[in-house]
Amino acid sequence: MTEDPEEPPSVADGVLHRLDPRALQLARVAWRITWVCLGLPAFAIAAGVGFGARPPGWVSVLLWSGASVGAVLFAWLAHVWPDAEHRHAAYRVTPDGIEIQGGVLWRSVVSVPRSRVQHTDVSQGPLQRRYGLATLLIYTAGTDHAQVDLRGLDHATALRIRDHLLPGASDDAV
Amino acid sequence: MPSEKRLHPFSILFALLAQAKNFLLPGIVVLFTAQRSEWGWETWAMLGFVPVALASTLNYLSFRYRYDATEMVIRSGLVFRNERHVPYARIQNVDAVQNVLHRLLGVAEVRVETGGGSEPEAVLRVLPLAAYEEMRRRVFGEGASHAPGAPTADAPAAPGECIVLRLDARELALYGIIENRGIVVVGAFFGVLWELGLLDRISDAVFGEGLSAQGVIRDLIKAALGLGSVPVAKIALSLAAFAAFVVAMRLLSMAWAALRLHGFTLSVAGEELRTRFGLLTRVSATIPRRRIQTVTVRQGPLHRLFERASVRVDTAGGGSVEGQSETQREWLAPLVPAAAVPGLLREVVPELELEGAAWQPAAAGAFRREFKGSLIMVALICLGLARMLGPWVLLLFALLAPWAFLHARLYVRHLGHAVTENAVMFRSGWLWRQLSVARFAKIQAVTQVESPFDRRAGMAGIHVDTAGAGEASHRVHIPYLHLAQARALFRQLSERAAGTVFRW
Repeated sequence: MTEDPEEPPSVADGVLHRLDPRALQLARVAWRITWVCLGLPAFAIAAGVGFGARPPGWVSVLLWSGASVGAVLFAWLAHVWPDAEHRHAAYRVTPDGIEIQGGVLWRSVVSVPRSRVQHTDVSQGPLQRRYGLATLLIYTAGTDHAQVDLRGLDHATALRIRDHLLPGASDDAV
Repeated sequence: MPSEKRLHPFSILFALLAQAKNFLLPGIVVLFTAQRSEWGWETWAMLGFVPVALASTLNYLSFRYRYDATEMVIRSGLVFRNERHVPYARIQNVDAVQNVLHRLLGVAEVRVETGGGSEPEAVLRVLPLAAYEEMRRRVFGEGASHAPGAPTADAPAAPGECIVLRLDARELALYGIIENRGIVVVGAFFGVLWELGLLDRISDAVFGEGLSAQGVIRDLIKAALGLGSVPVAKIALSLAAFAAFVVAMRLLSMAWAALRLHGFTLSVAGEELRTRFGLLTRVSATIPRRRIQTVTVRQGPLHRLFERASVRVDTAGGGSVEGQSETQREWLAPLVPAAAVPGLLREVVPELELEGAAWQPAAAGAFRREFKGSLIMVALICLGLARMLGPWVLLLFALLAPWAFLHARLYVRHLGHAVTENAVMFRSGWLWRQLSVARFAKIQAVTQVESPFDRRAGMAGIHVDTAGAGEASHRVHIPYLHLAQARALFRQLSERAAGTVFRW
């Protein structure tokens, strides 16, 4: 790491960074919204069908119990998953490129050299705008990783990483 | 621009022919089927040919191309004008395709391919051969020039061009035997019959009456259960028919290879590789060496029997199925003696050392995991079948379990990867063995993957992503590595890739 003392510290510090804490809040909110929009209606429908069945035999019992267990499981997942995802997500920007970690069960670390970046996008959804977050999209000429995305960055950080990755934008020789 | 050029005047003819193909086949069907109503709507529909003919003439008249300092400019269109600029540096391949008629008239259809997109950037239909030569010279520099009349397969190599591989008739016959393309011929044949509506008549004539081998399986089962006599005659007939079918397929395959790949030559001139082949449709393809993304060596059981291998390359241009079937660019060498593979690879990737590579095997626990996986798969299939067909299917499991054992043992034994001075190599498969080479300069991204099973076993995998990999390509996806080993490899490959510059 060669850094000029007078300049602000570069994003390319080679240190493993966690995602922004606000990204965790956003993920929790998004999961809750999903639960309310999908999980609850499904539970209601299953319960309604079970209640409406007549005579109310073992089928309705099965539906009732299945729906409640499903809804509780979904709620538990919505509670646990954002934290787990946040715990395993990280990124590292080096002078040579970027490294992105992610995944809870199937984990992966992708490394994209800076010289292979074709172009980049920084995008913000409506919820992300509220939280001041952004998604950095990196495009390469590859096949599986023609597009690599990193969500949950602070917007300003995303812009700085983008500027760093942009071909020929920095003082580093490519 | 003084140097603005046009297509060859024969272009009109070929454009008309291409259109006529679309009209002719239905036209023939119309003639065959609708003889009664002489001026039905079908016949009137044929008149639609006239505006098409006019359009292709106008297209020819408006088509211009020129060579600027750094790019090729193609203008076309009369009403809607289109001007396309293709920088030379972005051009991946310039291919020429000649069918019989093209060759009689001394012209060729030229395709210009760039990295993006699935189809050629420009198709120039048709150019005189001299113009094709000029285009190659302009696009790939002066070193790329060679004697005019290039795509004649039997022509001696021009100065500065050295022939690396030439397939004679014997090799082509061998290729036909090994690859078994007979099914392609049969498929095409049935396709034509189907198109013409003749399939039913022929199948009636052939299979209509007295298919004596029918029901041989049923008879066999009956015999096995002691309910009937063993149908010796029927068995003999079926076996003979099967043998005849296999032989006929191989013969067709050999004929196909002889026609399609006639006079196959691979040559190297400076920084580019050239392949030329074909008896009826002659193809001449150019691949600049630096555009090669990965090289794959493939060996099936028959290849090993005859001590041969086949080599293909993935380039970033035109990954489309259609483009490949036309130019067959992926065949760098359809068939090559196994002993000559390292030499051939060195021609393609000069700095590659195949023999001296230090192959790393899979991690120690790989066999157990692979065996367990195969066994679970087999068990699931057998359970599913048992539900449908009855419990005796479980006997099948007793047969398949040893197979799973054998597969796992051999599969893991043949897994390996090696990192050389400037490339990473990966080999896999035990029956159909494949070996792929990806140069560091062509690596787009490196990924370390860990599945839950990987984590339990303390392992990980490494995936190397390159441009231009097709659906069926053998990818550098290295499984079953010790976690520490995977990490080291991940670090090493990312650093080496970052240390090189990717050029299209």
